[in-house]
Amino acid sequence: MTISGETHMNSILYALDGHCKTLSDLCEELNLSNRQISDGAAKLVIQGYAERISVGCFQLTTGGRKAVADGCTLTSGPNAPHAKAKAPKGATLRQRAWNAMRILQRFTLADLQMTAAREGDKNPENSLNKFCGQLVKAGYLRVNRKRVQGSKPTSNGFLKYQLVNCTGEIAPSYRANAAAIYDHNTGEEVSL
Amino acid sequence: MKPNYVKTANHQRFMDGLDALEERGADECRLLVVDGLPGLGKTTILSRWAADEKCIYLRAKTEWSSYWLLEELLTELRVHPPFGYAKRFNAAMKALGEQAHNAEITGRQFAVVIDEADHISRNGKLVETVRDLADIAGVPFVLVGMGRIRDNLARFPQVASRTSRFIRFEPADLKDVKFFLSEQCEVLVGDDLAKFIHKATGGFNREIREAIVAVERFGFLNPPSSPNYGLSLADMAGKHLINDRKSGQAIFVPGAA
Repeated sequence: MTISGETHMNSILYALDGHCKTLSDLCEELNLSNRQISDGAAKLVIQGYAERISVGCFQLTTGGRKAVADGCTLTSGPNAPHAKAKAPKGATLRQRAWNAMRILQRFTLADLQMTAAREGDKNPENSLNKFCGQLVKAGYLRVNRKRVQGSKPTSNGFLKYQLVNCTGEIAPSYRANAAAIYDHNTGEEVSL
Repeated sequence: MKPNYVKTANHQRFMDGLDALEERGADECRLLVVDGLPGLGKTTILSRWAADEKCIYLRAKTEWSSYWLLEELLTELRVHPPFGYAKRFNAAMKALGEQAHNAEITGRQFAVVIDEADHISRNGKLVETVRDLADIAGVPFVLVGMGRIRDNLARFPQVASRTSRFIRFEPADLKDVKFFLSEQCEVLVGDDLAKFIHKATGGFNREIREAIVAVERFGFLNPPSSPNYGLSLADMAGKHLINDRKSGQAIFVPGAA
């Protein structure tokens, strides 16, 4: 069975404490193969906890000694914060609606639903209504003053939207925790 | 009106045309021409397809030049348009190639849709630019126009011969009109009224939708005399349905035959 380097990082880190050790020393002490020691030590070097003194000989760096003193348990990652938010993948209802907005430019909710909704979508009207509301608040859409007349006697008519800020092909995402819209095209977050 | 997309015979014609594009014999036949009179649902069908497949959708303008076309194409491709025709053309080639490659990986159909392409079809330079882009980048172009595009393109045999298929949108027949009414109208419509709507609208989607609004306005206030049959000619006799597209005259519903 192949065991990756991350599995043995911690045992190698603590075995190196205070001394410079060779591969064979570590193999004997930890009862691991040359490959396992080599992989584990390489991970420690990459993460800055150990340094290679000569071929096959390792010792802890200041950071490594501090990690041992603190009793840290090392993990394989993450090594740095994510630089960019993950764009939604696939043709979701919101992505299709955004594509439709870019094409139609001016539209009612019904136009959007007719263009973007598919059979499997759950309650597309509600979902698109929320999305349009969020985009209006964030300044991507503008609501026209004049409503489109409805055919029902008590209808208040339908809002007509206009896309006024088309920043690119990826649909903006709503972040509920921050109450904001995140634009994947520009990397900006707009508070609502 | 129910916001349902209706898959009419024109929808099927367009899907058949796309299949023909996929199964074309000659590799350079990368142009698809869609034409038909205004109000037949060309833009609705094309925009739905383009939104689904994440295609590039451009609307041609009266004063479009090759340079302006490339600028809009690059903007849609999220590439800052450089100055100079050659630089723009090369940037468009590169970006189109990347998009086509991504679409191939994800199994999507990728094309550039140019709506109101009549403006292009009259201009030799623009036609040649589209041909160059389609040929060199290997990306299909869908040209959508209003009837004259086919005749205009006939002036450019090198382009006409690269057209994989001409798709002509036709007015809806009675079956399609009934399908429209059943899918979009919130009031049940009887056969005789459906036949009159077909006759009065000439099978144009735009007019059919207007007629649906008129039928709904009347039907919500005046339920059909026979609920199982639906709203009939007699029910709506004398009511305004639509305006005639040629004369602008109001068309009123006649009494029962």
